[in-house]
Parts: sequence; C-alpha cells; structure tokens
Amino acid sequence: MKYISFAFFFVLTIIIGLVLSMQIDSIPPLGKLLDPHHGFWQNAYSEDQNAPEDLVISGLKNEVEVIYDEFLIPHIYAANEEDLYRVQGYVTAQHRLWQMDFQTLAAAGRIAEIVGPVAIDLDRTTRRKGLPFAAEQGISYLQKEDPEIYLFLEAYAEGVNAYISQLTEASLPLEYKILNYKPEPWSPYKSLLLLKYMADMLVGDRDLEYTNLRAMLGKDLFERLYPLFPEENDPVIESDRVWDFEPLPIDEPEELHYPSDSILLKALPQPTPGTGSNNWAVSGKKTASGNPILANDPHLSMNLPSLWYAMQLSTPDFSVKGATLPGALGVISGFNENIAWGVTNATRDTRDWYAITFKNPDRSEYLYNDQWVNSNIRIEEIKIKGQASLLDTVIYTHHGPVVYDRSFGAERKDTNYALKWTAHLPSIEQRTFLMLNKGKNHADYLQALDHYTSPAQNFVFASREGDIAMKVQGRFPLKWHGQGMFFMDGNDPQMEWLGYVPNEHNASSLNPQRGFVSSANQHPVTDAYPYFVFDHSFEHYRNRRLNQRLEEMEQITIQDMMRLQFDNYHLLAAEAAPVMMKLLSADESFQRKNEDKYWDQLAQWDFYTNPSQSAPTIFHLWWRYLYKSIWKNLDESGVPIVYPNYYQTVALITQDANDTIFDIRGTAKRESVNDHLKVSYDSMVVQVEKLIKTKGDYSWGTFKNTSVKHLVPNFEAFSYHNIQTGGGAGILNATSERHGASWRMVVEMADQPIAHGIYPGGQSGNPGSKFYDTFLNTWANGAYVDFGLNQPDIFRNPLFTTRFKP
Amino acid sequence: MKFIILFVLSLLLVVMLSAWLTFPFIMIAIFLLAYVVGSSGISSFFAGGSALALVWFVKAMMISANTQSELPAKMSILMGLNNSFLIFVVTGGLGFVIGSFPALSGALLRNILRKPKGEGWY
Repeated sequence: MKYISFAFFFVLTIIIGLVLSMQIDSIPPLGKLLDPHHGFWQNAYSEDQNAPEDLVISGLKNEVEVIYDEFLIPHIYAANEEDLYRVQGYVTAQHRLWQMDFQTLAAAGRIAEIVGPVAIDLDRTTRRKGLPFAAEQGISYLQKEDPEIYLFLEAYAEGVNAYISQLTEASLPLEYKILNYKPEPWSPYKSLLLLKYMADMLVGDRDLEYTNLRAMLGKDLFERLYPLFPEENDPVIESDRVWDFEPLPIDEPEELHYPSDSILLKALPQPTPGTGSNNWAVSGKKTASGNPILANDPHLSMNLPSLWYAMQLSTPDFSVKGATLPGALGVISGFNENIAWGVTNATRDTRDWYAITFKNPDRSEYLYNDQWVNSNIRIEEIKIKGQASLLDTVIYTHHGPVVYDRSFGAERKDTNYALKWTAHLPSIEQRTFLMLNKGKNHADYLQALDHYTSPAQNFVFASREGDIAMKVQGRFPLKWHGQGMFFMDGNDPQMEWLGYVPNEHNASSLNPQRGFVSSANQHPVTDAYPYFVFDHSFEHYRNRRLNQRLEEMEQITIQDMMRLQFDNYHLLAAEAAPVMMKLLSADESFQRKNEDKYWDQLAQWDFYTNPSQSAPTIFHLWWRYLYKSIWKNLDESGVPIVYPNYYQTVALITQDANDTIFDIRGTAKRESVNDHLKVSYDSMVVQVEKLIKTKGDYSWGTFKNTSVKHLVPNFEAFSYHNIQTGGGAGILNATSERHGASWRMVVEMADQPIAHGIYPGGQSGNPGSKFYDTFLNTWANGAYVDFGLNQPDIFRNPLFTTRFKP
Repeated sequence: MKFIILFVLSLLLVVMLSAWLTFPFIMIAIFLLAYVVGSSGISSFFAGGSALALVWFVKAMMISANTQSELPAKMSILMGLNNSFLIFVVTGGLGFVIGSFPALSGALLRNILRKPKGEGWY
C-alpha cells in the first residue's frame, strides 16, 4: 500500500510539474508564467526601477553615456559612430526587443512558427512577394557596395545580441513568456527585413482590379471613372514648377495587347486606406520668428508597442533626435542642429504583374520574347508551431517571383503571375538616413536622398540656413504612358520597364515662391511632368486642406503648426454633404427632411470632427451607404475590383444627378443619384438608432472607437479602445479607428532647434511598465512633449543614467 | 511540530533559492526537504503547499505594491479572470499545488524507506 500511494503521488507530482511547464493549446505554461520570481510578475517593474548604472558590453571602443529624460527617451552620447549604433542596438532592444523580433519574423514570413497554422497563408504571401529574398540580396549588395553601413549594422546587431545574452528567465520580455518562445539573435539581415516590411506596409497596387475593371467597363468608361489626374489637382510639387531638364526618351509601343478576360485571383492585402502621412515646411518669411518650421506626422497602423521609438543620438560631430524604427539605424524622421526632415509615403505604382507561360509542368523554363528561358526555383520552408513544416516552391523569373500559381491564390491551374517590384532591388536606404542624421544643408540632403530606393517617400526639408525643400524620392520605373496599370504579358519585351527615372529628374522643389512645401500622399506633380505618373490611391482631401491653410496663414508659430496637425476639418464632408442635401431638399418624395433631427444636425454642422460632435457620425454613415449603393453594381461579376475614389464619386454626383452611372442594373426604373441618396439616408438612420441602443450615443469619438492595439491581436488586455479623439481618414488629423498620426513632430530651425514631438504609445514595449502608454493621453488631446536637443552637462529632468563600458 | 519545522524550512528554502531556481527545481528541493524532515503525508502536504503559497502570494503582493503596475489587472483580463485580485489568489493557489505534492511525495518516500520502529535487523 505504501508503495502504491508513493508511486501514485510521485507520478502525479511529476505530471503537475510537466503540465505547468508546458504550453497546452493556447494556454501558456502556467507555472512559469505565474511564478512571481521569474514569470510575468517580474515584468511589472518599470525601467527606472531596475536601471543599471554601469554596463559592460564587448566591442565598444570608448565609454558611452546614456541619459534618459522623464519620458524614458534615451540620449546616447558616444565618441564615434560605431559605438553609437552599438549602443542604439542595445538600448532599443532593452525596451523593444520583442517587437523588433516579431516584426522581422512577420517580414520573413515566419509567424506560423510562433502562432501555428493560422498564419500559414500570411507567411506564404510574404515569402511569395519576395520579402526575405530581397533582404538576402540586399545583404550581399551591402557587403560589396557599402562596407561602412554593413559594419554599423553589425555593430547594432551586436548591441542587440549583447542585451539578449544578458537576459534571464525573469527579465525576458512578457510576450515571450506568454507565447512561450525565446528571442533569436539579431543580424544585419533582420535590419534589412525591417525596411522591406515598411515597403510592404506602404506599397500596394491595383493592377488585378484595374485589369478586371477595364475588361468589364471598356476603355472609355474606365477612363472616365478612374482618371489619371483629378480635375482639381493640388500636387506635392507646386503646380507652377517648370521642369527644366531634358527627359529620357521613352518609346511608346505601337500596339498593345491587354487581356480582355476578367481574372479571378485572390487579391493581395493592400495598405489600408488611411495609411498615409502629412509633412510640410514653411519658410521664414511666413513665420513669426523668421525661422523655417517643419512638421511631419506619418499615419500608420496604431499599435503597441509603438512603431516608433524616440531617441537622441550624439557624437562629437553631430546630435540628431527624432523617431527611430526599432531595428533600423539612426533616426528616420527628425532633426539635428542644422537640418530637419520628415517623410510621407510617395504613393506611386512601383509594383507590376506579368503573366508567365511555362513550357512544362516542372516550370523550369518560361517564355520570354518567344524563347524558352530558365527559371530559378526557391523552396521556402515554412515552420509551423505544433506541425510539420510546409515546403512552398516559388518560381523566380527575371521579372520577379511568381506569386500566383497553381498552388496559391489562383483558381485555374494554368495561371501564373510574376511580381516586379522596386522593393526587390538591392538598395541602401539605411545610408540615406545616416547621411540625413548628420546633414548640414540642402546639398547634403540631396546627396543623402540619392541612395534611397523604396518605399518611395516625399522628403520634406528645412535648414537653419533658411532653406525649405521637398523631394519625391524613390527609384521610379521609367514607363510608357499607361504602363503597369494592368496585368501585362510576361513574354512581350515591350512590357518591360524601360529603366528608372534618374534621381535628378525626380520631382523636387527648393524655396518655392509660395513660401511653403507640403505633401499628403497626393499626386506628386501635374500632368506637365514629363514622366508617366500613376497610382490608384492618391489622396485628394488632406492635401487641398493643408495647402489652403498654409496659403492663408501668415506670422506662423510652432503652436499654429501643432494645431494644423490636429486639424479636424472634414473637407470631403464640406464638399459632398451640401450637394447631397441640396439634391434631396429639392426631391418631393423625400419626407424625412421635414421632421428629422439628423437632417437638422447635418444642416447645422460646421464640418469639424471633434469627438463630442454627432454630425460626423451621421455624415460618415450616410456617405458610406451612398458610396456602396452607387458602386455595388460593379461587384456583380464576382471578380476583384476596386471602386472609383471618393473624389471622383463626389464629382459625378455634382456634375449630373441623372448620369447613367447611377442606374441600377436589373430594375425597370431608371434610377438617379436621388434614389441612392434616399435609400442610404434610411440605412444611416437605422444604423444611428442601433448605435444609440447599443452604445448609448452616436458621438463621433464613440462611433469611431479609435483604438491602439497590441501587435498580437488577441492581447486585448494590452490594448486601448474608445480613445476620445477627433479626426478621421482624409482629414489632416487622420486618426480613424486603427490608423492615425503614429508620430507628430514640429521643429523650428532656430539657432538651437525648438522641437516638440508625440506618438500614441510610450517608450517602453513592456505592458507592465508605466512608460508603456505615457504619451497616449497627451497625443489624444493634440498636445506634445518638449523634444529639444539635450546636452549631457545641462540635462533637464534626467530620469537615470547608464554608462556603457568597453 | 514537524509540520511547523517543515513549513519554516520550506519557507526559508524558497525565500532563499527562488530568485535562482525556477519552479521545477523548487519542486525537487521541497521533495528532498520533506523527505529529510519526515513528517506525515498530510502534514507535509499542507506544510510544503502553504509555505510556497505564502511566498508566492506575498511576493506577488510586494511586487504589486512596489511597482504600482497595472500588469496584474491586465493579466487577469488576459487570463479571463473577472476580478483582478483573483490573479493574486491564483498565483498563491498555484504555489500551493507546486509546494504540496512534492512535499507529500517526499514524505511518502521517507515512509517507505524508514526503518520500522523498534525492530532491529540483527
């Protein structure tokens, strides 16, 4: 009996030990997680509570001092650049290791390793788009072409790895404990992956949808609904800019053959509408102080840990401060003593698709210029948590990887489409940022930009010397008119890109007459620019509001620029709502206007979108239903398409309410826009009343439900919802539900730069730290924290100091 | 008496070693300790269990008081507990499970190997 009871309880004890150490389905190993000495409890400490005063890391040449301000913004003072980036790596990892690691796993198509089979499709898409392939190419290119940058990337990686090697069970970032895995060593390859991840986040194309639309609508109607330029084009580079260069000659093909059938493929995820940014600079002649002021607010998905990490990086030669991307060297959007710069996405079609014909089912040869050419085969091993790996064969042609084929996204077995994308090109974006970090003037800025390929950006610039500038920089394919709007024949050499637009022909502006430069993801230029410029997703509202305000403002102060970043004026509503209401006012059959409180609210609306206002909700819903009602005809064929943009929709409504485009197919009646307006108004009322029932009110802030969410979708406890803040997509304060100003910066280039910055999150990536969400409320209220350069000897409110010793 | 001895010794052991040993090693340590002390099964079970429960509960409370962090509340939500105090109870409870069963097993092993009282081999 004694033996049996011992054996029973002994085995039970071992089972308990094992069960509590193991992850079972989605339940983390509870014994490890709840152990207060090693588990999640240890992540409750904030960074200032266990700050080391001295740290020894190998590879340093000199001692490096890091002083944190009250918001946990590190200020790194190093004697040379290599030490600087080594410590940047270490410090960033201290606060953002899990995020850096996770984002690069995403960019490498390795999420299934962490979360299991649910991410297989995502990982396959990432690999097939060639992101890891491009990063690998980038590394060999960098080693050969720019050993200095490679050395710095290695120093950064060693800094990150020094931190990883000092981690204990207790100090491991929380997400590793919950998801039960360990960080892997950092490398320059991962830094490149991160830049590819940014390109993927910012660049899309609608070639599939356009191909279908063209086949469906015919050329004329297609061109009417999807014009290359809007009627009221307010481009990045001022409209009166004269192009004084001799453009490269472009041979237009004599005869073009486009596929006439619709194509049924699974459309790839696109950058979410609302992903965009604003930047501008005003010259001293428009400011109260006489100094140029620069502003930048990139709008991206609002996540925690925040995409951006604020830092000051100093050597005896320069001091730069601004937003860094955890995983990348230097500052991405920021300023130093001499210059300030910022970025917005320079939307442009840099992704094209080619139909590929293979000779045999083994796909080892494909047709190009009527010859059989060898393809390359790359086998992607996708590891899956809890399952055997999946091997995915991806064929590479000279155009690029065959994304769609018999095993991925295509319904038909003979469908093969290769992707050509500038993000696949070897490039050294990292050099651009490091050169900007220590740039002194406009010439340095232009030189820095020459190294920049992808994702294309509008780089705004202001200098202490008084210059303001803007340049649309990326490696843009040289195309004949219309090239790349639709899927192309991969066999036909006429369909090849003709080269690239030379950097010095990229659209740019220096000290324009109007006294400001600005960009908000709109068309870069007017149609007078000598090269073909196209994209589906150009902005039509923020840009016009921004330029209109900058045009009329004088004696500008930093506070004016902050208010402009937080400007909640809804230009789409201001243009569309009066037209919509006028049409219905004149419509006898529309009775609601007489007794309806929503109608009255709209009629009295000032077109601002403050969180407490209700009219924005009414407009938003009415517009959304109207837009869907007008264009749902296009969905009938079941193939992927994209609707005409808002601007074009408003233009059609305004021009002719009885346009045939408003007729609903399959009904006896000939509909006008009024029919759509009425039915969508009714839908809006139903929805608003539902909101009142479920949420208690229909104020814009409540309806919009601005949320900043943890990168792991089901970590709701580490996310923030229902943040009361105004704005929305297409508004300068572009804060919608999940996207918005992920970083706001305003800098005045005085003798000592005066700077303010904020972002929706906090410096710490640890959900247990008090620095996890420090900036969130300040950001939601449109306020900023002081972001000026700090010197070690006169440092305002230091939180703590760490000395890194060799 | 042996209950108190085992309880106090377990407490000391856990307090001293917890920073270095993860919980499976703590389980082994308590198992050995209960074997050495040689209390009865039931008394060892409660002595080992309550010692670790107390250490884990108090440590969790101390961290919470020290840091004022919202993390315990956030973790409660993440784990589906509807009251944030429950995370402390669950931590203490798990400490009890981790302390009690090895202590019981240790005592039972001692019980097997113990020389029968008053009976010599020779």
